[in-house]
This record gives sequence, C-alpha cells and structure tokens, in this order.
Amino acid sequence: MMFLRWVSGARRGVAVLALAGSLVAGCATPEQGEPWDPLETPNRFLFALNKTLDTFILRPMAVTYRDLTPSGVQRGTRNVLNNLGEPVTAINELAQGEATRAAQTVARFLINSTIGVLGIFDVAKRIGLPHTKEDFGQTLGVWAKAPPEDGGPYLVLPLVGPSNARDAVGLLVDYLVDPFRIAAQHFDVDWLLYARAGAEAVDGRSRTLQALDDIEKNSVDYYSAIRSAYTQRRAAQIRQRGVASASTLPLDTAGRAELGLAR
Amino acid sequence: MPTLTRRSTLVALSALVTGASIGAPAAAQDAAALINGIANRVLALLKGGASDTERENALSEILRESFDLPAIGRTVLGRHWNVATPEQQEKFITAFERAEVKAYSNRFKEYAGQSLVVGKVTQSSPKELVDARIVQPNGQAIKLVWEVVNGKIVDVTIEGVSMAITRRSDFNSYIQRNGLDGLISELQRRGS
Repeated sequence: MMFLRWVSGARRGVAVLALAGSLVAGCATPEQGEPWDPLETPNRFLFALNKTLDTFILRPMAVTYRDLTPSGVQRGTRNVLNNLGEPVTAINELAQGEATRAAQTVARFLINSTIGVLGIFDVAKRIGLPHTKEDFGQTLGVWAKAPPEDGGPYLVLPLVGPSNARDAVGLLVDYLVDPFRIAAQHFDVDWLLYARAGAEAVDGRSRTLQALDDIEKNSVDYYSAIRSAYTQRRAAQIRQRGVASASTLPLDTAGRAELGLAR
Repeated sequence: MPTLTRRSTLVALSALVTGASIGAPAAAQDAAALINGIANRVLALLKGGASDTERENALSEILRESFDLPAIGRTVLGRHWNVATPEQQEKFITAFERAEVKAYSNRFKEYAGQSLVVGKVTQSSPKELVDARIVQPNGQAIKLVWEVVNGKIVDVTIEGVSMAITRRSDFNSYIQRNGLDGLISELQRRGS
C-alpha cells in the first residue's frame, strides 16, 4: 500500500521537476560576456508584465509629474526622498569600510533635516557635502570575490524591475535595517511607508523617461538591452568609478583582434 | 552660452562645448578637440535653417566621419562576426551604419538646450578616454566617457553603461532567436 503511494508520489515529483526544467530555458552555464540568465523564460514574462503596468499606470503618472509639477516641487520631493535614504546609505558606507563617507552622509542627514527643513532643501550640498547613495547590493558587490558584473542569476522582480540574486538580497536587507521603516511600523504609521514608496516610484520613473525611451526605441531586443544596461550600471556603481567600457570586460578576442585592441 | 528653446528630450551628442582638457599631451588634446569639434558642428547644424532632409544628410556625414562605424559594427556582432559569410558581414555593416545614423538623427531631432562639457582625457593605449558631461536645462548632469581610437569614436559610456556592450548583448540575443539574417533585415527596416 505504502509502496504504491510512494511510487505515484515519485512520478508526480518527476513531472514537477520536468515542468520546472522546461521553464529554465536558459543555459546551465553563463555565456561568456553575457549576464547569466538561467531564468530567462519567467524573467521575460515578468518583464512583459512590468512593462504593461508601466505603460498603463506608472509611466503616465511619471509624465504628468514631470510636465505639470513645478520644478521646485520636483526638486524638493527628490531632496526629501534622498534625505530619507541617508541612514541606509551611511550604514552601507560603514559596511564597505568607508568611515569618512559614512560620517559625511550622517552630517548631510543632520544638516538637511534641520536647516534644510525635513530634507526639502539640500543645504549640505552647498557646503561641500554632495549626495551619495549606497545600498546593500553594492556592499555585497564590494566584498564579493566575484567581479562586479557577476551578481548571480539575473532576475526580473515584479513591480521592482531588473535585479539579480545579489541585488535582491540587498533590497531585502536594506528594507530590514531601514530606521524609518522600523520607526513607522513601530508608531503604526505604515501609510507613510506606502506614500514614500509611491513618491519614489513616480519621481524615479520621471527621471528615467528619456533614457529608457531611448533604449527601447534603439534596441532590437529590449529585454536583453535592459539586462545588459542594468548589469553594467550596477557594476559601475560598485566600482564607483562610473566607467565600464567595451575594453575592460573579458571579451571574445576574436571580434576585437582585427581592431588591434588588446583584451 | 547659446541654447535652443525648442522643448524636447535628451540626445547623446549635443550642444555648445565650454570645457577643454587641461594639461594633457598633444594626442590627448586631439581627442578632446575631436569631441568638441563634433559637438560644435552638430549644434551649428541644429541651429541652422536647413530642411529636414538636408540636416539628416549633413548629420549622416558628420556621424560617419566621427564614429568608426565598421569597427563598432564588428564589435557589436561579437563572436557571430567570425561565423558570418563575407556577404553577411558586408550586409550587416551597411544595415548597421544606416540604422545607427537614423537613431542619432532621431535623437538630435529632440534636442532641447542641453550642453556638453568636455573634461579630462585619459590615455589607455591605443585608446583615449574623454570624460564629458551632458548638462540638462534643469541642472542635472549625466556622466559620459567617449572612447576614441585613431581619431574616431568607438564607444560612448553613459553613467557606466557602454553603448557597444549593450548593443552587443542586444544583438546576440536577437541573433539567437532570429538568426543573423533576421537581425540584418530588422536593421535594414529601421534604417529606412
């Protein structure tokens, strides 16, 4: 009796595995020079889903925001949002061993929250403390032995968009350590967190309108172009040098040999 | 600093240049001067009263002179270049050039008063890396790095994202799904 039940259970298990295997349409090993994307099929599906939500909801809001909101209000909003993110940045700068920058970020936070009226005015920038942004994904990238381009399997997260294993963990950790989130949930004002998330989404989207439109119009496979751009951008942020050119990645030398360029 | 008043969106190459590279050797000066020169010519073109077709032709010429399009084409095809027939290679380069020129042309149509500030030049033989910034009318700055080899641009990196690498990834994915001929047809369609 038990044996028969076990066998049918095993067959079901095999069926489930086969189904899961068929979803993982990508290569088992990363293709050289390309971001590793073993979950390409579900990723493409989520990408399309996110795009639909973007087209019908987020993008129109972002365009309205950009075109109808006074630029002063946009700047103020950005400043407030940046200010709310300073504690997490400071924590990560410390975690990356950058004590001076962490101190500067704390100073920024204190100055802008007080003199800058709850962060609306970026007073600190004018006295020589520019805004920096660090997150735990970058912290992991700084400490990992792997090159910054390697963030584990590429992931498209619902609503959030492009990410990878490293950065997804980073998002979670940042969420958990964020003092503002902790305070808001402690004092039962969760709606503030939703308001902040909404503002971040709309303001952030309004700032990427041109860049993303350009990439979409000029790529033949938008999904791949975004995957590549995201991976490069994160790598540049981790390196904090802002430069990643075609010559610094391990390229197939065949395509470049004719140009006489080194690897 | 003269600016246009037409309202629009970002372009990769734009407007009047103010900066100059400081204390760099002669060759490096050339690379910075190259970028400056292109930007000035493009601005003059955008401000001039030429018709749309005249402007597009002139822009096409500037771009073909300034960018090493064949080299870029070979780079973005990556490993597929060596397995392509000479006929395919030629068709691809032609289609790619036309598509790129059309893309830049469309970008320039949406120019709106941004300015390009050229910064320092770094030597990384055989290429030169020219730092630059696009400053938007609202004050936001976008970091660029131009890669120049033998007096021609081979890549531009925007906020850490290399156009050549992104295009290569894009094309690679498309070729895997539709083949090289499929890519060539698509590029021909976009360039027309």
